[in-house]
Amino acid sequence: MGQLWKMDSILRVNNLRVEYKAPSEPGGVKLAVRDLSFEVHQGEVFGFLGPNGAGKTTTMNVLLGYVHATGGSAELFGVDVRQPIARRRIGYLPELTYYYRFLTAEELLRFYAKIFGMRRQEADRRIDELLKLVELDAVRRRPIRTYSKGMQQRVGLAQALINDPDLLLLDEPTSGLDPIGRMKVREIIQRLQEQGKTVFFSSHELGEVETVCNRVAILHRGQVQVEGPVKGLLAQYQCNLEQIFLKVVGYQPPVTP
Amino acid sequence: MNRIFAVAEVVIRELIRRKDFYVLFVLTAAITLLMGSITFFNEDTIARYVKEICLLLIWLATLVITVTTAGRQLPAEKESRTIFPLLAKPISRTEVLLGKFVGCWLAVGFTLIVFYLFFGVISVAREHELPLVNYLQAIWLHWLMLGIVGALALVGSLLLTPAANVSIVILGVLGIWTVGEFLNQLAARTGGLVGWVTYAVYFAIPHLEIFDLRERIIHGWEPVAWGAMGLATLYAAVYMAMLLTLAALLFRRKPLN
Amino acid sequence: MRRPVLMLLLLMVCVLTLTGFVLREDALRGRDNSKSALAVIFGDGRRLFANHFLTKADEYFHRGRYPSIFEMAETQPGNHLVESLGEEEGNEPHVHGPDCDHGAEEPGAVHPDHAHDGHAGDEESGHEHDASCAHAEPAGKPDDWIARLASRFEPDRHVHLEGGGEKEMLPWIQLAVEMDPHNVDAYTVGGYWLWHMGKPVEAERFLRDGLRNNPDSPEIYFELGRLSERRAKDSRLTANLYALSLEKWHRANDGLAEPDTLALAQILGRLGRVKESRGELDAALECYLQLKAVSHSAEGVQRQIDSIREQLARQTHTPQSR
Repeated sequence: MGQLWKMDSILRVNNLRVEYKAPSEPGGVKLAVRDLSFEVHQGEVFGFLGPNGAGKTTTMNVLLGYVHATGGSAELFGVDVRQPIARRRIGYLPELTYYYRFLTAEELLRFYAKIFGMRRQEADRRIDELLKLVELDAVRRRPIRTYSKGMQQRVGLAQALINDPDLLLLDEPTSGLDPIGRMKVREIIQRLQEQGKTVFFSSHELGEVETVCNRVAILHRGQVQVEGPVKGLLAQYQCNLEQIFLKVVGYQPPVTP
Repeated sequence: MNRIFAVAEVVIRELIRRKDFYVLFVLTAAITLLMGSITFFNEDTIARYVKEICLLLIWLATLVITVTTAGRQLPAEKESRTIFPLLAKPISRTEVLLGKFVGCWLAVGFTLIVFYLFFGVISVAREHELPLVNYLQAIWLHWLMLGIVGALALVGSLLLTPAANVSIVILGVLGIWTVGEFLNQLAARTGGLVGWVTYAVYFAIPHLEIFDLRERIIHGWEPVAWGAMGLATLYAAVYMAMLLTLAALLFRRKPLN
Repeated sequence: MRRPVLMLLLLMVCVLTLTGFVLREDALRGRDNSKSALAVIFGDGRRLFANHFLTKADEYFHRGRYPSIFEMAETQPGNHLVESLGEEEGNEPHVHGPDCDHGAEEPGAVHPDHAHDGHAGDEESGHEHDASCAHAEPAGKPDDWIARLASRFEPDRHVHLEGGGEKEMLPWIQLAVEMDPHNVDAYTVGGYWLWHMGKPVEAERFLRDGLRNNPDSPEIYFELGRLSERRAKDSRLTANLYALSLEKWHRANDGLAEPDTLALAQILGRLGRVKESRGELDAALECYLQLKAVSHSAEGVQRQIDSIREQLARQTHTPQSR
């Protein structure tokens, strides 16, 4: 059983440790992530939760190769994350829209398709498909700077899917969106799940996480405090995810006289 | 290689959509035409001073375009955070850097062609002749020189703030243009430790004045020997390779957040 | 991030555009350039620009080939263009720049630095110089591989413009006087080359402009005298111009510890010759006697004096014999 478990894990983090230089900290070093270990399996929607400063973004940065770990390892599809090839089968949607604003949605997607080495016809087909999926087909030739925030977030989603990824890393995908925008993103995630894609999901929207995710890990002070299937955790703690989260991070409501 | 050219294409699109190039071209054309419209001593066939002013403006305009374009690439990627979704794709930092360089260099090459076409028109209108080989040699060497300058600006952008980088590179280039070729004579006259240091600087700096064929094309000298052109190309290639290697080493170690 | 650079560029562009407009306006209206707006814009810095433009004209005269300060230090200082005045006329003397260190050049002297040994003209217009020329490649220049490589891209032969190509220098000379109307060298150089290019009217107008801006310049009176002499229209006017040049010279140099005797010699030589040709032998003799006192070539001058005295003696004897 253990062997089978390992075989279908497509993201594996083992004793990950990330230190930053911080002159204000004792010893001049800040430990952002300490001995972090978890795995994400094929077909899961995995919620990666934690308060601000818990180490979520740092972990995400290590997975994306932006930051090199001080210790431990992280692998995507069995390849060390420091190798660019490890990111061949992933899609990443950042929290805020960081795209070349002078490009049109079509040009942006074509650029990323080229980065993945897609052939022109294949890229054309995929771009058409994605722009229809995120409902930006009608404005595909408008520069991204003219888009609303919701439209920009949907461009982001489309670029994250350009290579038809097996693993999707979403960093606060619905942050700042209106309810309709959130619903659309949620629908797309569910559709991807139906297609058997794996989604690694970082969010503060715990209600949303409860609805969308199969499994969650709650991070606090650089370490996983709780990890398991959503249904199992709800049953074990006999409360909703938000209450579990607050309990894990040790939140004490102020006492009113 | 496709990934490098994909990044390069975005740089070129950016330059085409920015106003810098158009503004500088219009100013160059306007000043040249204004200067060309002046008649000195009832002599309306004077050509060389117009060619000289036009070429000076072309050199300054392309220097500014190169330094600002190359110098802003990596800082702007970091500042606008577009580097994050890009590096989440299977592309290495070295490929991003090379893509940026190739993009800048090609964009500047395109700019040079436009500027020199204008120069050619002015030259034909004034002198009724077009020494094509001379002009092609001048464009080629100018382009090589701007390649070195672009690589220098990329290195600078990894070490300095953008404003400091642009100022220092432009001043450095102007310094090399004006005194670079005399440093050996200065060293010979100075002697001692200062002389040795001056010699070291003389051999370390890229001698950009080599690539300046302005006097030859203004005064109608015969084309440069092709062997010398080959040597200059090799010289530029070595400097570009050294500077880009340094930039790649710096960029690989550069924290992005 | 690009703001400082763009501001600098914009400033440069504004200055260039303004310069263009001012020049155009001045050219159209024929304004007195002592009141030029450029003088107002650039302040005292305009003198530096003026000298640079005059050097630029010299560079054009050599088709872009111009020695560095190191090369000049090894050969001879001075603006070649200024030094070259008169050389084309064989034994004609010329007014020198302040840093010119040629030998004396009275009538009969040949410019020592420009004894051309041939006029191997190039493909356009110009002639090559031998190595004795001030602008030729100096000996002892560092010879490393970079210098050798760089030399293959520079204009590599010493040539002078000729056959009408000299007109290319004119804009820089005009710019030099626009920038500094008190740059006497620019006027004398411009006057010479305009005459040389067959534009005596423009040459005279240019020199008269120079005179308006520099009414006490012996050099400009001298150049006007030369122009008048070349045009051979009015020898009385020529003599007057040289006489005025002499007067201005005295006004500027009398009482100086080191007067410019070279210029004095040239003026006296010219004035003496004109007076002689007009038959005013007493006046010519007076000039030659003064010239002998300052000349480096006293023997030549003495021969001229003897010749005049002989003529005077003949004139005195002729009426007696009648």
